[in-house]
Order: sequence, then structure tokens, then C-alpha cells
Amino acid sequence: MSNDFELLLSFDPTGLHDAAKAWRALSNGAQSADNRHRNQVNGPLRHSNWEGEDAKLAFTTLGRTEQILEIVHVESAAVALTLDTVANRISQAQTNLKNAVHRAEEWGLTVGSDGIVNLPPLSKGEQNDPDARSDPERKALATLRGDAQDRINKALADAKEANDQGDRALGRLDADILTRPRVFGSTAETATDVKDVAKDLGLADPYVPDNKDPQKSADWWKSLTPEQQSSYLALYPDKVGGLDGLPATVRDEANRLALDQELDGLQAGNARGSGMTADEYNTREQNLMKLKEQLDQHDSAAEDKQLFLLGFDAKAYNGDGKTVIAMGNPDTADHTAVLVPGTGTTIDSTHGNLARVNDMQEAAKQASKGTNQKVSVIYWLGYDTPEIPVVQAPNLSVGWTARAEDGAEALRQFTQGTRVAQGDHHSHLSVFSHSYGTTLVGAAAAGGNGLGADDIVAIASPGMTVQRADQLHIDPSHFWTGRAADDSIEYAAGLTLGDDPMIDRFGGNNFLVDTSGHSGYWDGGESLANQGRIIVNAQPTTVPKVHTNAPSVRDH
Amino acid sequence: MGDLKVDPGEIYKSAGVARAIGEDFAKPCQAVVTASQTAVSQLTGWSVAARLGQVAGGWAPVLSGVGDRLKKTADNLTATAQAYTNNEHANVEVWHKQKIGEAWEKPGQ
Repeated sequence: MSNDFELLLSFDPTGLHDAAKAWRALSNGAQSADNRHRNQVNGPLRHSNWEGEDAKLAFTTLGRTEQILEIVHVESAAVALTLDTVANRISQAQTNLKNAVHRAEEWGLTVGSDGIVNLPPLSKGEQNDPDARSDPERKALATLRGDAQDRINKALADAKEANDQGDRALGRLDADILTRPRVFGSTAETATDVKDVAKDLGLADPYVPDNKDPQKSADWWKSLTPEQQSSYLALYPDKVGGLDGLPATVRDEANRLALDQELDGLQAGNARGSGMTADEYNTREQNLMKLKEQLDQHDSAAEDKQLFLLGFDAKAYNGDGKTVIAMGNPDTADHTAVLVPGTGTTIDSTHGNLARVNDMQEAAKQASKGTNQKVSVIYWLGYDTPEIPVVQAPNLSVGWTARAEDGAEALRQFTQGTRVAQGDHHSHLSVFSHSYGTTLVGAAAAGGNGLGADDIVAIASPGMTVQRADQLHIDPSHFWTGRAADDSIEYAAGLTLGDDPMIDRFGGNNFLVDTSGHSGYWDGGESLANQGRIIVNAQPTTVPKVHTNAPSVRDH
Repeated sequence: MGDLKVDPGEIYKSAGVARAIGEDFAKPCQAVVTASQTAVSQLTGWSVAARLGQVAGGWAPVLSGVGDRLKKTADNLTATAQAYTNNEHANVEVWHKQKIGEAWEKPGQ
């Protein structure tokens, strides 16, 4: 900076703020273009059965376009953040400078155009008076002069620092990220750029609620301006996407970006130095690829078939991963069901569980035919499911309630967050679970203030950590359970995980199951139709509770 | 070559949307360049402004390229849909022109 003092005095932040606004608009424009491209260009073509060599080339091009738009979305948001930060800091330095000058002048000092503070000149008489310079008043003024100079120098230094930081940060955000020839790594680099820019600017980690109170998270999100919200979505997607209580559309947008960044980073790198073995690395990469494929396949789907990625963490539970996906928007649905899977479920099982979610939604639509009611079904893999003992013989966690107890709070918070995100729109909420998932739902419903669900459904349950339905914080008339006649889970029920929910002493209702085996409940028939009825708050076909004289598991 | 299955109507529709996205996207791209240049001219002497000028200058052709990409995508999709439609019409014409009759029929009947 030449003549820093005058430069700072004349600084006008308007240009930088206007430029920041334009870059932010570009970021939003890129995000909007990406969404439209996915849902109205690429998605419909994927669904149109267009195949052949031309289709392959076209889809590669379309996918790359979306990647480019995603990169523009993040990089331009980072430019906007930089410009606003620099403009604000230099403005603050300018205010401090003006205050210092004003103060100096009040003290009777003068400030030169170079920013040097001077004592008032001695009068002609004083110039010839040797005592005048050592006059106590003039000495005090000299001290004030030093103070004023320090303030001015500090303001100039702050402005210079802000300028230099902005210069350095902007240097990271040039268009090279797209012009450098490479297949993978650009999307991942956007996340690195954001971290580096924040470091360059000396920004503290952005405030994000601790995700322990969905209402608090929702209030925080609503308190942000639209500009702040779009910045958070572009710059900190991994922090925003997992917050229970935020709108499903917001979480979906954030999580999709975070997924693309993480997957691209894995595709660009390798296991060396990652802290993972080659197998672990490949598994994580494959899992994220499959998750992305699932999401891509539903782009442009009808409104009720659209997927909302409400959470994912490929690293969780030693790489088994967690994922939460809604089919249909739960914030606006008339009926929302949550499906909690059981033993051996990992992020790799997403495809099969989304098929179940789809079947449940179709059954619900059938049960509410003619009403035009909207149904959302959420696949919730938010806990560390027990491994199948056959695969990992020493791991018998499926026989104990620890995994269920560990995951209970997360499920409670999730259902609470679903309610918070729905706001005044109170959707009929049912929580379904299968196998060991029923144990987790039991632990979650029994603890704290329960799940806040209107109905709880336990399918093929080995036990729900409790003895009776009335311990689940729900009217037992809204508790439903079912088990296939040939489901061998019957032999585990009532042993170590709580009493068998099918028996009369447990309470609640047993619904008719006419399918076979431990995993056939979504094959159709009354098993699935009854799930659909419960989802839409209709009466399922029931069967009598099983009478037993066996003692409760608690009495063993 | 794999199976050829296609709905030209769907391709036409996607082409139209791609073109519209490109046109809409051009506006914020142009605005960013203009606003950045204005800031640069207002803040002579500040190196951060000079850097902004460089960054915006670097992005300008890239952003313009994104617009071109979307336009070319629309052009290619339109051409593809047209080719499929033409091909189908040509195939129908072949079957109309050269009717295949039973062995006892006279040619042309």
C-alpha cells in the first residue's frame, strides 16, 4: 500500500461488498443450475431408458457439468466470504484510525497526511525559551502524542493484515481448480480450499450448534440471514447436514455436497497415509459410490419418490457407516414412517433397505387410496447394528442390549428433530423396526421422554428391553407387533433382550403376518399391507396375542 | 454397441432445460466479472483488490465456458433427438415403400 494512511482514510468498502454479493449470487446460481440439471436434464434422461454409446458419452458429459457447477458453487462462496471479511476488517481499522485522529486533534495534536502525529508547534516566544520544551504540560502532551501514534499505527497494521490475508486467501480461489487437467480431486479440493481460506483469514471455526437439541438447532438456522444460510451450505456442508431439527431440503443439499467432496477425495487419493488399510479404503470408497448411485437414480423422480439425504457418515462404527435417507419430504408429509433396521445392516445395505422403504410407501399409498395424502418413509441407520455372529463368531453383541442402549438417544433426537422440522404441520409419525432394530426402538422409546411417535411397530422382535408396551411412552393401543410363523427369531424372543412383544402379557396389538421367514415382511401380502395401514393411521388386520405362562425375562 | 432404446421427446425436453439453465447462469457470471472490475477500479492501491481482479479475470473465461458447455449440451441433445426421430421416420418409410406381401400376391399390391 502506498501512503497507507491516506489510503485507509479514503477506503470505501462498498465495492468489495458489492463484489461479494455478486460472487454469492454466482454461488447460488451455480447451486440452482446444478439442481435443475440433476432433476430436469440428467435425471429424466436416466429414467428414459436411453442406452447405447451415445448415451454413455452424454451421461459422462452431464455428470462432469454437475461437478463443475458444484465447484463453482463452493469456490465463489469462499470468494464472497473473503471479500466481506476483508471489507469489514478494513472498515473497522478505518473507524479506529479516524477515532485516533479525532482524539489526537482533541488533545491539540496535529496529524500529517503521512499519519505522523505532531506536537503543536512552539510559539516564537517558546522557541527561544529553553524551559518551554521541558514544560510538564508539553511533556504530558508528548505522552499523548505517543499514544495517538500507537493507535494510528495499530489501525494501519490491522488494515494491512486484513488486506494481506485477503490477498493470500483469494490466491487460493483462482480458476486453476477447473483448468488443471485431472479426473478426480477438484471437488475434494473445494473443501480444502474453504479450510485454508478460513485459516488465511484467521477465522475461528464457524458456530454450529452441538446437535444435542433439535429445537436449538432449528432456532439457530432460522436466525441466520438467507446469505448466511447459503454460505453455511456451501462452505460447511459437513457441519450442517447432520443437524436434527433443520429442514430436510437443507440437510439434503448439505449432505449431497459433503458426500461428493468426500467421495472425490477418496477417488483422487489412496490408502497410504489415510490411516486405513487398502481394503478399508476401498470399502469406504465403494460404499460412498453406491450411496451416490442410489441418490442419482432417484433424481427427477416423482415428488413422493425423491430422496432426501438427512445424514451419512462413512467412517462411523469402524467403517460400517451410518446413513439416514427419506423417501418423500418428511417436513410436508401427512404421514411419516421411520424404519430402523436390524442386525448386520451397514451403509452397504442401503439399496435393499430403500427397496423396503419404497414397498412401505407404496403399501401406505394403497391404504390411503383416494385421499391424496403424502407419505414419507425414512430409512434410519443411525446406530451400530450388531454384526452377525456367524460372520464374526466372537462378536455376540446381538444377544445383549448394549448396542441398542448406545443408539437410543440418537433415535430419540432424530424423531424429535423430525417433529421440530415439521413445525406446526403435525405429521402422523410411526416408528417401524425390524429384528434387533426393535430392541433399539424399545430402548429409545422407554428412555427419556420416549420417541414422540403416534405408533410404534416391532417386526420380528427378539425383545425391546422392556416387559410391557406401556413402558414405551405410548398408549399400548398404538403398539403393533408381528412375526412370521416360521421366523426363527421366535427362539430368541424373551431371552436376553426383553420380553417377547408377541405375548399377551406384553400388551399392544399383534398384526397379521402371512409371509415367510425373518426377512419376508416386505414381500407383500397382509404383512406389507398392514404396515401400510399403520403408516396412514388406518386399522390393520390383527390376530390375538400369544398366550404364555412362561415367566418374564426379568424374572429369570 | 449396446441396446438402442430412446425416447426422443425426453431428450428434446432435457435439451430445452439445459439451454435455459445456460442462459440463466450467464447472468450471475457476467455480474461477478462486472462487480469485481468495479471494486478493482475503486480500490487502487489495495493489493487485495488487484488480486480480486486477477481472480475474476481467471474465472471469466471459465464461467463463459460453463455457459458454452450447457449450450453445446443442448445442441448435442437436440441433434441426437432429431437423429433418432429422422431415423425412425426413415425406417417407417422403408416399410411403407417396400411392402412385403404374401407369395401369392402380385408385386405392388
